[in-house]
Amino acid sequence: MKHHILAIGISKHQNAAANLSYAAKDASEFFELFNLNIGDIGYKKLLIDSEATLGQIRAALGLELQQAIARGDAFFFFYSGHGVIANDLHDEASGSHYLVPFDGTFDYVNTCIPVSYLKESFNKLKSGANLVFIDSCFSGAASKNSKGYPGPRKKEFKGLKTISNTLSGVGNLTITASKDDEEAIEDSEFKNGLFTYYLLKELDRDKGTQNFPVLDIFTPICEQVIKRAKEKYNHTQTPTLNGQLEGTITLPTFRKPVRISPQIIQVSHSPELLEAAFPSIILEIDDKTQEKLLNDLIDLVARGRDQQTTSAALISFERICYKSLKALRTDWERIFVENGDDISKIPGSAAKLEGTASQLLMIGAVVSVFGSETQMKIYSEAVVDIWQFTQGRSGLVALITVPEIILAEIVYVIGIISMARENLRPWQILLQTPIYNLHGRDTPPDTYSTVPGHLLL
Amino acid sequence: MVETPPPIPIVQYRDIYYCDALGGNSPKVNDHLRQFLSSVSWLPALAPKLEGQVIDFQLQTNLLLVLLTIHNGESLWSDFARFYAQRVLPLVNKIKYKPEFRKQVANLFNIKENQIGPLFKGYLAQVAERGLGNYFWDSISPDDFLTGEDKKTLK
Repeated sequence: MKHHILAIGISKHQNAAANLSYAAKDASEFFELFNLNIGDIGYKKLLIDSEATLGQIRAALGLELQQAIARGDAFFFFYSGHGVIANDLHDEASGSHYLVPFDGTFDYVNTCIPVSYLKESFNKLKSGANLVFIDSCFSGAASKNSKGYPGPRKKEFKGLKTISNTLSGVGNLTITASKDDEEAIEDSEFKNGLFTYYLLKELDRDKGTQNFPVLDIFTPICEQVIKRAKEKYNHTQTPTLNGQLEGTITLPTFRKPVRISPQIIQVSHSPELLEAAFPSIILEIDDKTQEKLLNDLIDLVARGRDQQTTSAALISFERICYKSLKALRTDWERIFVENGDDISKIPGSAAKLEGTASQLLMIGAVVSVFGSETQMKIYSEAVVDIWQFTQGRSGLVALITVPEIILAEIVYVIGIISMARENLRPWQILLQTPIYNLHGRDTPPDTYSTVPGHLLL
Repeated sequence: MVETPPPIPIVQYRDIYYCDALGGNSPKVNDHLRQFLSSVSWLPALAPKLEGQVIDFQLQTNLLLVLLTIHNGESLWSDFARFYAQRVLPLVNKIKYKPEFRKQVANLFNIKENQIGPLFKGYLAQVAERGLGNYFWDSISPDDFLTGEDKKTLK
């Protein structure tokens, strides 16, 4: 009987906001444990981070694997990374578990690996046993240290194809890190997924026999994960075991334990993917162009926020703000020259300016939600410059002062977002940003105090 | 030589509240803002609570701006008072009963949390006294800002 192994671990995603800490390390250690200890592995493949794209994972489960495995062989499949629930491909009312590859987006159905695909792939194998280890979770919740991914919960579907109930036929043994509605967590002290840590520990433990039944590793893993999750993190995580094997499958003997430093995991393949700009969070809104712009900005801001210790990231962000401001200024000056003396064109001109200002507004809105305080300060200082458009101008007051409306819109956009998200800090930073008031309108005309809507002093 | 006046915080830059492009008329600026904010389709994507409630949050923002400007020795047209109280009461209740939010508001005004009730009551009374009484008949009253604790203290 030969052993075959496919290990997948994804710590770094195209969507940087989804990054995990130790998933790639989990897979690397699982893979190396087999690679170092078993002399004659048939099919062996390790896919980590940018290698683990949708296409690469599908290819790894494809023809080459099918051809390598002979009747009666054992196939070990290991996955550490995000899991999510989404509509089933073939039945919209039902849900399905999906594994989230490196290039997975919030269009889960079309960019992630459904459990039914795993099942079909495993069914094509002649192996006597498929041993599946999933260090992921499908709770639909995403929180710190968790492998959950934001998405629908299982109760939102009338039926659900889960890892456990779909991959549990005869010949498949599936061990998952947590129950369907629980979150699987990463352990910063162990520097592994909590489940993977105890799995590796149990695999390379000296069992005193060369014929250790694979099923027997489950109970100690389960007990230790539950205990550690509860005691250390006050968290509930219960590994599950499903499936049925014909006969007793024994584990290979692992004499050389493997521990890999997360720092040494590097993927040099497909560097172009790492350089590409991808959204951190994909928001679905009506207008496709706006949606793309918004998602690109979220990615830019989130990446800048994460790297803000480097001045280069801040300079890059500042440049984006001023580029947007420059576009607004150029448009305003063109409109001012073209329509500066024609009051009838003002409504159209104002609308054009608002269109140009929309990107600047979006930057502010995104920073107020996803950005850092430093980014908010940089943005606010850039925004104050809008006011300078009006300096030294003469002509129709209504046109000269259009940039002030844009400033008011920014104050209110960030105001309502801060209010709705109950985080007033971004708005506070904006409101406290100094601005020179050179218009000389500090004291309003007397008539103002008697007309509703004018300044009341 | 005319000396350049020192910069002021943007919150005190009143030209944005009474923008001359809209006739120097604050209700028009606020009407424009309501129309504009309702047209920004992507806002609820960033703050889901805004879905269907943009006007309420615009008026709540206006209420806090009104209080802030008075706090800074200025005045601002209280546009929120043109609408029924329930539009802004969620903000008032959050300020009164949500400790984390109350802390943030105190920070925004650079005051202590126990000053919020009496100060805001006074500010709102000032706005009403300055000629906006007619616009307040169905909006919040100055006492709405007081918690039970504030009322006991004031007694």
